[in-house]
Amino acid sequence: MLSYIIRRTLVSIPVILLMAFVVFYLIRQVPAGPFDFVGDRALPPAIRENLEKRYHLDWPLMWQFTSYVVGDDVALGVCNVAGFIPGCDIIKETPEGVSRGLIRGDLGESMKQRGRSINTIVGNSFPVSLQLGILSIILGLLIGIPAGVLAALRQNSWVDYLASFVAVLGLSIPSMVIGPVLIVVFAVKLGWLPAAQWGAPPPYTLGIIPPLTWDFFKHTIMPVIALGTGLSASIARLTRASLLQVIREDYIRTARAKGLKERVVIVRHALKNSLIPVVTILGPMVAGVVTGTFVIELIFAIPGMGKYFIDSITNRDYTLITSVSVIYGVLLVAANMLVDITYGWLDPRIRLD
Amino acid sequence: MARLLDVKELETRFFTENGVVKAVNHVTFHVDEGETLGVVGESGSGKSVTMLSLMKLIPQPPGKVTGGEALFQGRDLVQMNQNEMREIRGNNMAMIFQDPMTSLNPVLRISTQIMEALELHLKLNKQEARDRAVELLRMVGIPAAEKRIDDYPHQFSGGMRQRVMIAIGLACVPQLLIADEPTTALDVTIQAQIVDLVKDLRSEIGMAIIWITHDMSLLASLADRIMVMYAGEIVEVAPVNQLYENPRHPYTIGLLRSIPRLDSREHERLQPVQGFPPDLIDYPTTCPFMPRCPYAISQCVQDPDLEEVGDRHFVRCWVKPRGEKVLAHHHRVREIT
Repeated sequence: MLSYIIRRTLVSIPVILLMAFVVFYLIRQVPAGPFDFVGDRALPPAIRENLEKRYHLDWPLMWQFTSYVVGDDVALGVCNVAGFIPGCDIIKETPEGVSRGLIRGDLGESMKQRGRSINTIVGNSFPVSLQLGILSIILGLLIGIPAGVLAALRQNSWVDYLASFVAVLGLSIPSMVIGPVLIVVFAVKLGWLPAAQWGAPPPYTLGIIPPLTWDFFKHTIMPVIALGTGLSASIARLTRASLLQVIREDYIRTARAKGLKERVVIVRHALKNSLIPVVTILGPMVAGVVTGTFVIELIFAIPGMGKYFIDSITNRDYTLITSVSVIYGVLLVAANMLVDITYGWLDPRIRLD
Repeated sequence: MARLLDVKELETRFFTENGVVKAVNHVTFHVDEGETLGVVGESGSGKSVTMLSLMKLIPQPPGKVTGGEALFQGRDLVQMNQNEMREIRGNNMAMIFQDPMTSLNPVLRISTQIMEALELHLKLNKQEARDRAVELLRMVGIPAAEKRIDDYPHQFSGGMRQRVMIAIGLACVPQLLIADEPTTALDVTIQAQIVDLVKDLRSEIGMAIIWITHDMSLLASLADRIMVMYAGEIVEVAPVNQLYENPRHPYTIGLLRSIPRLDSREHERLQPVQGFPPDLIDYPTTCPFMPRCPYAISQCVQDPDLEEVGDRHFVRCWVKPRGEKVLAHHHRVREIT
């Protein structure tokens, strides 16, 4: 198991680097750069040039990427030793470092929020998105799996139709509708819950665990519901379809032939088999949700990562875009690895070596 | 011997979108204690559905037992609700199925799958159930049972899985074991092993067996009586020797003729039963076998009743062709037993 995890991790490193390079390259091909405008006023060319120099945008692309990954001190060092490499003439003129490199855990410096490192930005916003995401997934599972099971067991009854109806509703009503409706009802009309903001500011215990206070929870209830119901809808539909297939299997008949109670037949014999497709979608779902959902974070004014993701693209904050993409990629790889490990636990026929 | 199971006029229907499937029609038979009843018939003849109806295991909807009674140890299974039936299923009456590859749960250990019936019906605790499970696995001939018990089904071969299925079936020492084509999915040498195993266990436990198959030759050494089913009806029931020596239903005769034999002459062709079984939705009012029957007479437009023609020998046929005449060209069938 440990060797499997190590192997998977090593294999995923080139994947992440390749993805980082593609983002790194493509965003620089998009017209307009980070320093073309401030607001709607164009920057004077001299200032722009200085800023670009400051962020190494005058370097050849491969050198920029190298410095992003391994740090610009390494790039400088290489050029001091082997100055004949193309591009070194420019690099050697740049004394000041902006990045210690991905491999040393430095995500670089923001180009638009000058002076703030991306580690700080992400360090403050990512835990918030993570908390929101994890709570929403938990809610999605808590509603989705029982609803799917119930619908499958009472197939073609009113329970099934109701569950399917609600699931379609949950899938088709976007969170940008559910969110404001919740705010109007529970914050504005009833005044039970706060309309916006996050209950607990960073820093958190171990970087992510929030203080478990009422103040934290009352701020999370509405965004978690808005996000979680949509997730629960897809989980419920998948659970239902999968369980319906499993309860037609021969071994379910064997279980019934033993005289087991229907509840035992379903929970012990059917559920575990039917969770594999559910776990499969859970991987990308987790990665997508915990890296911040822009709409929910915008509606509820939650200081999460989703906002930075969108802002960085419109701002052409090159480093922030690349770094947020890297984080998303790492999470996706990690979530999928977790999914594969879960497969092995769900189905002993799947071996991880 | 005392009656263990007494089924009268059992009727099972499937209510589908295309119409009502008359899967089991006025089926009447009995099983004595310790007796082995073989049930034969082609696919779709209602063998399995009859037994699943008795176990209350037919999927409902669309299936439903619509009539008749089935007294098991004096209690009517048809009238029982699922809760009462659960007490009997796997306890007094157990069933093993055709395909051992799919009949065991792939994600649960063998130990769990055997122990759960023991804990449920015999109220054993974990350790007792485990000890008993190891004992059962040994009994069905699984080597190193105490090591293999924690394996998963995919770590066993087909024959070994069917042994595990039998161990599960026998876990609570049932009075009746229903075996639904337990050897069909296995290769021939394994088939013989399983049949021998069941014979040994039968004498050890003293249970009655209903053995469903479409392999008539297999029943010769195993069954006490044989029941032949066609289109959801019983067409002939007889003690095993009687059935092989003096079959009286044209369908039984046809089945016996279609058994391949070692001593058949070179180039001699097997004689299949011509034609196809009737549509069970558009069920004929005539004798259901009439369209395929070489002996059909005008009277056959009416479905005959089961009639006693000898000691414990019943036939549903107007003609009841005599063995000698029919078997004139097929005298070797006599030697089958």
